[in-house]
Amino acid sequence: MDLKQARKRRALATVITSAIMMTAVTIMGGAGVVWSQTSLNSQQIEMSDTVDDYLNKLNESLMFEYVYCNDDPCDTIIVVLTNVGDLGLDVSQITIYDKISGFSKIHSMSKAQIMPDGSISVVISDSSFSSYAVLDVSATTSRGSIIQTQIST
Amino acid sequence: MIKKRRGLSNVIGMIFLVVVLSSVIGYFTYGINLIERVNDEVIVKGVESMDKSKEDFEIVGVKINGGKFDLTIKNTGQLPINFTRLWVNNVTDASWPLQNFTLNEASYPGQILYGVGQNLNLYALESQSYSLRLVTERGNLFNIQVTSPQDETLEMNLFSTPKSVLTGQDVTIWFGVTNNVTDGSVLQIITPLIEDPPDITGSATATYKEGPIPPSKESLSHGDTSFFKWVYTVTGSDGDTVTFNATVDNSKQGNFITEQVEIVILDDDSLLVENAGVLQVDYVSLEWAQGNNDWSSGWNLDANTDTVWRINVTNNHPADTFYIGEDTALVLLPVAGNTKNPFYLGASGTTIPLDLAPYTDLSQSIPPGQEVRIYLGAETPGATTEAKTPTQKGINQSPILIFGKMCSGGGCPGSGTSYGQNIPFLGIMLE
Repeated sequence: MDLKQARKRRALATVITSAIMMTAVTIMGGAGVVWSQTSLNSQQIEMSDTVDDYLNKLNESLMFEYVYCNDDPCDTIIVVLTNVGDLGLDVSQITIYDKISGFSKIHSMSKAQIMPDGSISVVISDSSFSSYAVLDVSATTSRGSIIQTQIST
Repeated sequence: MIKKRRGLSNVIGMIFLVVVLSSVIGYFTYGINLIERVNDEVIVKGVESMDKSKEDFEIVGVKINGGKFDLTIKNTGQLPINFTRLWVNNVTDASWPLQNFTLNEASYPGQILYGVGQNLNLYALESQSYSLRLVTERGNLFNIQVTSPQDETLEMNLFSTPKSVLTGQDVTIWFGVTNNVTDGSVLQIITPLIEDPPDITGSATATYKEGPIPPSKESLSHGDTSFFKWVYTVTGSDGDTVTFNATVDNSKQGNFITEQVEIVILDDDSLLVENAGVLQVDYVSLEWAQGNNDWSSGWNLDANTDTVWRINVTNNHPADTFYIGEDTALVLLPVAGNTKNPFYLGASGTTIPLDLAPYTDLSQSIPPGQEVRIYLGAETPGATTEAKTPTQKGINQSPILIFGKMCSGGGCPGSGTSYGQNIPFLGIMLE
């Protein structure tokens, strides 16, 4: 009789233990799966944003249509930028500089959006432009694309 | 009971496995799709860049026509090109603002666009220089410099044929203008001018007869030379000189060139020599055609090939018309051989295909003081078969033997005096 009772208790304990373990595994597994899905989703969104940024930058096509001195001696440089791509872009900054002397004139811009096939003309003045024979001109877009050219003053 | 619990564990395990695997596969697929999208965009961007670099066109001509720019542009590439804009900068007048104009002129490969710039609301002056910039839709730029002669010192050459003339003889003045502008500009409107009357010494006179031929050149590309011709009749005493002075309209101050012609009076003993020079060829006008090619100039021809020549001959006789005989021929005499290949007179010659019309004796004439083009290429007098150049390659002497009759008044040419002349000619190289 004692032997029988002992066997019954053992069997009950095994069932309870098993149930507890399965419940624990299910909860932990479920939590792990939910966490991993959330993490994967956020990574997918991040990857998608990164790729979109890269592709938009890749598709930017900006060119200097004309860069010229508006006066003689050259104190004012007019930069004509044209968007020859299929994507609108935003020019954030034009820099005119001399590599040798370190001279740099930074012209920051806001609301300098250029739609496809559109152009903008930017007037940049500095009395020291005429001190340099050749100046480098670079334009930077808000997506980080940079184009460069030179102008003889 | 134990078996049932094991089965439940397996089901739960499988569910987790399926969820995890599907997540991993979904993530992997998403990543692959992103990479593929980037790859496609990079390829498209690469094609666009290649297309941009493949845009190729040539400015065939630039001129100012009716006060407006007139550009002739040939699409020499393999892609259609849309010319979107033209920038115009007046180099001469600094007060003139830089201007840009919308063109939107599209051209397909091989097409030539004429009159580009004619519909622009811009008046250009021939006396001023301009810097033009063409912009294409793909973002390529092409600069064109249009220079007025008054802004540059041009290379000019002036020479006369002959340099020593007999009194009463015609002298041809050749004026060459070369576009030697270093920035690659296209010169616009070259109009030659010659001082008339020219400077003389002694009792010399120079009477204008004709010219300039051509009257002007609309444009001259970088490195090109344009020739103009005047003809003057010169008289005077022995040793008198005539100095011709030529330039171009709107030229830069001091940009001109002179050429002196001296008059030579021959004594009676030299009369034969004077008569021997009655007929004169214009060496520069020599052209030849071989095979299925158009007229060419120069001195290097293919050996053993059907050939037709043409050259201008002037009759310097003051009164008589010269009637050309059918025996007139250009003869090739190889220096290293003994063959003689004559090319007899033809009535006319055409190319592509090469063809020579048969010549009738004394049918072509040169009035006094006039220049006439003659064709030489018949195998025998009056024949239509073209003669071949010698088979032996190398250098050749090539005199022209002219026969015919000098005649004036009625009954010509039958009543004329027979006349023959040997004209020394250029060397010819057979290759």
